[in-house]
Amino acid sequence: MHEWHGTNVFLRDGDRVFRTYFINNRGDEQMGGTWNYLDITALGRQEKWEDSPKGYPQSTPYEWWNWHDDYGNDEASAKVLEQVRRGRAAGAGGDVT
Amino acid sequence: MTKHNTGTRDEWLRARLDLLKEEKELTRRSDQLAQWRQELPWVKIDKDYRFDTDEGRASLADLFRGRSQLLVYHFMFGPDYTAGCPSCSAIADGFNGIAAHLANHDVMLWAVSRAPLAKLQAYKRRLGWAFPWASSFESDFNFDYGVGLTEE
Repeated sequence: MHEWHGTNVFLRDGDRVFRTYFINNRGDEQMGGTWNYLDITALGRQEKWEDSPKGYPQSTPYEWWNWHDDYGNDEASAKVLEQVRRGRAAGAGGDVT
Repeated sequence: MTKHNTGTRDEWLRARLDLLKEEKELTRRSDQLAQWRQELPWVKIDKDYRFDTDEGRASLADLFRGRSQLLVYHFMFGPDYTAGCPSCSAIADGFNGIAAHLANHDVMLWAVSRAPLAKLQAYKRRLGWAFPWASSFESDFNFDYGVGLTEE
């Protein structure tokens, strides 16, 4: 019995589970970053610029991520969000599409 | 070292901007591929796979921990291995830090291997990893989903 690497991607709709994607070999070597992984999920990055299925949540880029030890600390992330919004308004964010 | 072109900053900049046009085409192409990828059909899973996790036995649906999506990295660690495969370990060093970000964006990232859970837990402590890791030891999961290859 031999082993090989690969990444399977699944989606859950209530109790039903579906396999949506599989990648291995060279493609799997490109994985390992937050955005690369989100790009292979069925719902993508769930960001507003994407053409996602109806009914699924979407958020603005640069606003949903946080320090990995601070998710749930709404006050700290609110301050960062404010800075991001000001930056985007001033054109610092640029065009995401 | 072999010989290579050198140039002024202006020459570099002009060449770099030409390359940037090609790179942007690649990005657009990646976005197109991402859209086509999202259009692939979804295949319903009818078999009841079971895994051993730190929290006890789990079904595939349990691994989602309430999120709507799940990434499963098939980590090469067979039942008779004494350590995880070095290449998979190098890849896992890369994704170890991002599991929290994905978990806060509706995606759980798990590693799954065929070795018994105790071996995985010991190895995880050795490497200092934080992502969740399940054992599919008694399950057909790895065979069914493209990563278990028998000797024939």
